Amino acid sequence: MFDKLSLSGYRGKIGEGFDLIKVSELLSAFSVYTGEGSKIAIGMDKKISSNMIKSCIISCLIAGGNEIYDTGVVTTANLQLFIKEKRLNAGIMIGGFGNEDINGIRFFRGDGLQLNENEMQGVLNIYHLKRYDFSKWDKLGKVITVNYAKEIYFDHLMKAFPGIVNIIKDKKFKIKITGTYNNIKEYFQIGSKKFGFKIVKNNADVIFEINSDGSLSMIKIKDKEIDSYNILPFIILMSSEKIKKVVTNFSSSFMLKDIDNIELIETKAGMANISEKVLNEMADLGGEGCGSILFPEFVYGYDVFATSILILALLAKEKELDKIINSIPDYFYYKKMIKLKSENINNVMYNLRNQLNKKYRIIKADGIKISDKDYWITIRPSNTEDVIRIIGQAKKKEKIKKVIKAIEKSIKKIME
Amino acid sequence: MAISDLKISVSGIRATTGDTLTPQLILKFAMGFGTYIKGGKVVVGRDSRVSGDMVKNAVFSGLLATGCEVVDLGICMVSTVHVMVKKLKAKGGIAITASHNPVEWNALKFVNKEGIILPPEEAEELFNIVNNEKFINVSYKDIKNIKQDFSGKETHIKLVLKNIPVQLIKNKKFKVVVDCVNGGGSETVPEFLKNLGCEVIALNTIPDGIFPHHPEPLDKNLTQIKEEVKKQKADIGFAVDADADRLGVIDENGVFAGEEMTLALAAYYALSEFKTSITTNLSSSSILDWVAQKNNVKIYRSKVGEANVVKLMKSKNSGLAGEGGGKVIFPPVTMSADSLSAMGLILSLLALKNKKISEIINEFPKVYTIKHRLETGNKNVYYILNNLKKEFKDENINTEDGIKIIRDKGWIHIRPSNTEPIIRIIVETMSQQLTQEYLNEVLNKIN
Repeated sequence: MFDKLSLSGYRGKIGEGFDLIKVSELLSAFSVYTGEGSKIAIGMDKKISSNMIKSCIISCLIAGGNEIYDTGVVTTANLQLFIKEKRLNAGIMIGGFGNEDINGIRFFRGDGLQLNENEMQGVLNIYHLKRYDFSKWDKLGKVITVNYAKEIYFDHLMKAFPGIVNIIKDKKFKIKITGTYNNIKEYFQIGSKKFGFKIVKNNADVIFEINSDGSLSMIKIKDKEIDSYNILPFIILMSSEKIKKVVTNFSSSFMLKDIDNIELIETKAGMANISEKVLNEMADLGGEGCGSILFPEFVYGYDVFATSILILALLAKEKELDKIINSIPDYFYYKKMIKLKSENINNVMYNLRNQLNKKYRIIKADGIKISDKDYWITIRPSNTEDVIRIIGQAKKKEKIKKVIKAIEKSIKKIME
Repeated sequence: MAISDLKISVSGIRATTGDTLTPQLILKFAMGFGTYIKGGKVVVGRDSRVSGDMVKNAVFSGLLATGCEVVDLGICMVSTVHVMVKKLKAKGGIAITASHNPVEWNALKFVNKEGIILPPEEAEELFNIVNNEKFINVSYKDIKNIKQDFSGKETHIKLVLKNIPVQLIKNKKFKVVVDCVNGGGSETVPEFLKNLGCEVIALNTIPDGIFPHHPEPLDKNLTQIKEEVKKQKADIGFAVDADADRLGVIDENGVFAGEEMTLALAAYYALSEFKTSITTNLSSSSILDWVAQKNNVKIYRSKVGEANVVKLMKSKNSGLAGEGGGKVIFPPVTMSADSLSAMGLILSLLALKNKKISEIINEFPKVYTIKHRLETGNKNVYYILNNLKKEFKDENINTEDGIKIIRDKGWIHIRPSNTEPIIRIIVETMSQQLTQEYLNEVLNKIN
């Protein structure tokens, strides 16, 4: 059984914990938060359960007197862009959580950014107090079906990055897409016509490996694999000196720190935190080690299609490609996820911090961070699941092994 | 909000928009229904109410969560939902309609796989599931789709036409005024009448849920159609409610025939033509006894409520049933109140008799009825009824649904409302004065 209501929204396993009534109450709370008469866009991924959730959301938003713009199956970035372009008050995205059996919702505000923690807390306060308002019959909301959301997306993409169409078209790239990218398949199909690339199965110039949550887990260029951690630094290097200020989370790659002449701002993990920091700091780029990148001149949200297109544009322009690719170091990465009961997470984090503090220099950031000149490790509770994520990077594997063992031992002891 | 605060009855659940009709409530009942029928195909239709879209989406969501395949009929008559459940061999149906209630109301009516409103014992099982919130939640692999099917109107019309003398009616070229109150019958009702060769003057046929008057086909709500019938020199006028299950009849002089007359007129034709028994409720007019007696067939009476009437109708194999208030159930078409069937039978009568509708109405005995609604305040409804049973114990009484006192010159039916904390008192005699005296007698005893 799994479901989680958090400051990131709601998610759960369909049929085993996902609670539709909880979703409807959360939506009625959100409707109170946005106010009667709000214009709210909804988008969804292709999961079959998304239709079920959409009907529930529509019902609650109509009951709250809202005007609903149903954009159909779109990416989160597309929805965010639509909200901003159409000057709506808010948005809701259904899906985007990886596996077919998991689904959920996230909330967005009028400027297209995901609700930050304070704003989401406001929604949850209404939810917990059950202070819902329902409109009278003559003030009920309505649904407007939108079939032009993708057009707005492509138009805006081309306006945001003028000239990229011709640059990419000239190169006639052959690209291959692997991974579970069903939700954005249509974007690549439309994109192939607009940007003149071919989607092939073999002999591709570039391979994009896309996770089911819409992040880039790997790109492969000239037989060189660039894994998710190095995609953000790779884009910065390829952009020559255009990018001056970058926002990332506390688990950023050594490679990012090694780049000269950029200001690196670290913040808590998650799109809501990164995008807001990018906005407030007027940064040029934002992203995380999972291969999710945000281009503020386009949209304040992670966008794997735009990332892929911009990588193609950079490849088309860059003369020193080989040099850049060869400069990507082979660092060691460590990722682990420890499943815990929701009620134990804070206790584990508290005790772990105390124990590790005796041996290591702890940085209190987003969870716990241990940092050394040759390695770093972050330990933090997930925003969306009942798990603790341990992520680390080391210039050499043996440098980090000892610390990881100590952390795992401590967690085991605390759990006993 | 506690579920006990709602209007829950054998007819389904009813609530008001912006108040008790919440998405959460609807979702729970839809999930409850999906759990009760254990998945499968469910037909969903709605009347034209503004809140219909909100309710429909919550219903869809709840049904999908429990593994049901949803067939969306769109805006339609309530009886079309019943017809389509049978036609599509569905496991059940949900009609979203508050029938004759004002615009701010909406409701869910649950239909079982036989195409009938859930009988009381089945409805109770559903309510238990909802109260305990023990819903099935299927895995993502078992979530089905929503299919749209707008063929219900045509299927329904064809079914009625198959069971009435179409040519007989067509030959008469009746001029008919119909008031659809911008409800669920706005498309189907005029279309049906055109199929019978009628010249149709249709009023209020935009199904936007903005009712031009209170949707209950009662005399006080039918000013527009009464005037139009006279102006158009029409043969007859028909007024339906928001989901077109109830039918009011207006004669060629623009006079409302009375809410008890719809079933009586339909029975006048059907009982003679099909030599069948009739089932109605204990509160319906004794005019029906006269029609049954005239045709030498039996009349059966059940507790008030469509579910109760249908249950008895099935057990007695009656070829016609219904209730006062304009509800006619014609089993060859559907086992639910259906204004198309009612119109078809009444037009058949009109064609067969070759008389004006006012002349046919005049053939019926004249009765005087009062329907009194007694607010009981803090007094317990059942305490009052028990006391009345003692007061009238020496008379000919029926205690199946409250208490019905049957006398030589008329009857008094005193019963608790299914939906509100009130007592309904229905009195009928052959004289206006006596009817009033009977009512006063009961009120005095209660006081």
